[in-house]
Amino acid sequence: MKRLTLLLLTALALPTLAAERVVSIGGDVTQIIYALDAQQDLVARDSTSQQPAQANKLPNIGYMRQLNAEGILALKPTLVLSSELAKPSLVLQQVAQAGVKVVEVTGKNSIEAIPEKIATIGKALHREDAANALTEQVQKQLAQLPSQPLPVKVLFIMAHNGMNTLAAGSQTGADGAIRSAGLVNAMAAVPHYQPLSQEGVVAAAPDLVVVGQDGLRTLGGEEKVWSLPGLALTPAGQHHALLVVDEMALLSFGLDTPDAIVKLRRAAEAAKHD
Amino acid sequence: MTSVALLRWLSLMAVSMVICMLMAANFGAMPLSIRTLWHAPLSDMVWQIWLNIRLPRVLLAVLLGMALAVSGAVMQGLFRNPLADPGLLGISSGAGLAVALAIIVPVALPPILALWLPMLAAFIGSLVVTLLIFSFSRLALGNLSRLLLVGIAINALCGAAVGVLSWISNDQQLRQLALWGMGSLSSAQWPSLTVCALLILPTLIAIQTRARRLNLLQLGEEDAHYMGIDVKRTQRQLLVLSALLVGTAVSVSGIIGFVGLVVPHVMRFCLGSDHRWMLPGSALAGAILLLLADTLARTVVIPAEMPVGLLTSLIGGPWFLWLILRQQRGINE
Repeated sequence: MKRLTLLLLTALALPTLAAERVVSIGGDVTQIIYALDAQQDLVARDSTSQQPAQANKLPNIGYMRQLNAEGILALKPTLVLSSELAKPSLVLQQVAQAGVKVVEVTGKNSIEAIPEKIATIGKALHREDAANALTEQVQKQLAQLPSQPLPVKVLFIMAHNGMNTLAAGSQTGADGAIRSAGLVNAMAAVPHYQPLSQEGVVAAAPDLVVVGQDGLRTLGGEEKVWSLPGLALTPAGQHHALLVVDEMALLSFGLDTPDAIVKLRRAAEAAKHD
Repeated sequence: MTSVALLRWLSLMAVSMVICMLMAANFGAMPLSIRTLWHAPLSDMVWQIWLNIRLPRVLLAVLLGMALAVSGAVMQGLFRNPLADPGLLGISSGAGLAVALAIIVPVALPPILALWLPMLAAFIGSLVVTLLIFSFSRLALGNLSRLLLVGIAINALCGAAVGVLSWISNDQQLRQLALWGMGSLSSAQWPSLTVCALLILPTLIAIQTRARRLNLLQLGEEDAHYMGIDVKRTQRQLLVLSALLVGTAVSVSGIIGFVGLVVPHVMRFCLGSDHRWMLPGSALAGAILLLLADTLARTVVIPAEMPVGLLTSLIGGPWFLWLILRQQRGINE
């Protein structure tokens, strides 16, 4: 149905300009291009763009911080839509110098970034109507969030193979997501991702622990979460209040984020009642 | 080997290098063969791309290949240790630490500075370590073996500091740092190339003029002194010159392994150990190796690219092993 309305909208839109050849850099950017039904203009994407599945069929220009100017230019793009996270990049500067339009898409960690991203991409691809429709959808999803804040302390744990288990402090995507849900980041006192320390965790006293699906697998299941340093001594540990999320959805501030934030809020409300 | 034969070798290598450069300039993601360029007007886009993207990269590979190989040769000669390499004195790890700081510790910078920040940081880092080594070697007690220990200490310290930084970094920063450690020539642009050339070429010449003194140093410090060499001063000059080469190379491209360790070995094997011939030989061979590696790096996974440091080891490693085995067979026969 969503697809259909978008199709109708784009069909009704005035005939657009000559087809663009677009290179998309950033998973969130690529996903929005598909949602705007502009994928026929895509000629390539970067390695972080794996959603939706058909994006994987496109040529891959590599990791967003290690691009090859000539490789991008060889695709004869007319437009490069790049996440701010790929900047600063000498390669993108070279691409721009070769006469290709490079449009930067915000990389801010906040809920406001989503409509902003949609608007930037919609404008660059001359699909303002589709962009407006998509923004409306996102706003609808976000409208499900109760506006009043909820004093529930959330601890986001990031665990990847070969790395320490980290807690998300301020200035992180997780912090932005927690605040967007009207909740409190238990580790807001420290910036960035910090190694989990027993005393720090106990002092932060989280009511709810959030971990990504991959993170949970790395840790070795739910039981292992509670055996992390200090967690057993927190309110969350006593009630076993754990939410497992799709990490990319929660942290990328893309199209899957509103839904993930609503889920986070619901879990926090449930933890509150425990 | 007679000097006639040596000259023949060197000319052959110089010709090979020029052929490699022509080939490298001909290959890439864009179909820009010399023929296409010939038929296109100079104002055309293809010329723009060739001149501003491919050509600087080819020239940078030549320059850095020379710098890495020669600095390795000088280090091996100075320490009279075939296992010495440009990373030995901690110069690369000093640069690495500065880059890690630049990536992980956020500073608000004007965009133009932010673009060149990793390069500036690496250069400052390698310069600081070079000055440390220089001031240490000026101390009366600073003989070379002690300097080696200083290098090891600096390496360990910087390594630990980078470890601490990666420990608090996020995924993206960690990945960027890891990639920097594998080297890439994608920052090749005329401004960076010009700075490199201005630093590397005079340094290479300065080293070449000290080749005879480096030969005498092989006799040992005492004998070299009786041959009328100011040993300490020569050692210090050569140290700083090769540190400058390493620092410049690391700043522009990150860490590219193998070239500095192995190319001088191979040249000693082919041309003998006289530095007057071995140094230019190393420069040419280093340039050829890095050119081949980078051409592969930017063409194997079009439209993406591979870290060039992986390829220098992948190309150089088997070849080096084969050389050792061949040498072994020669001894056994």
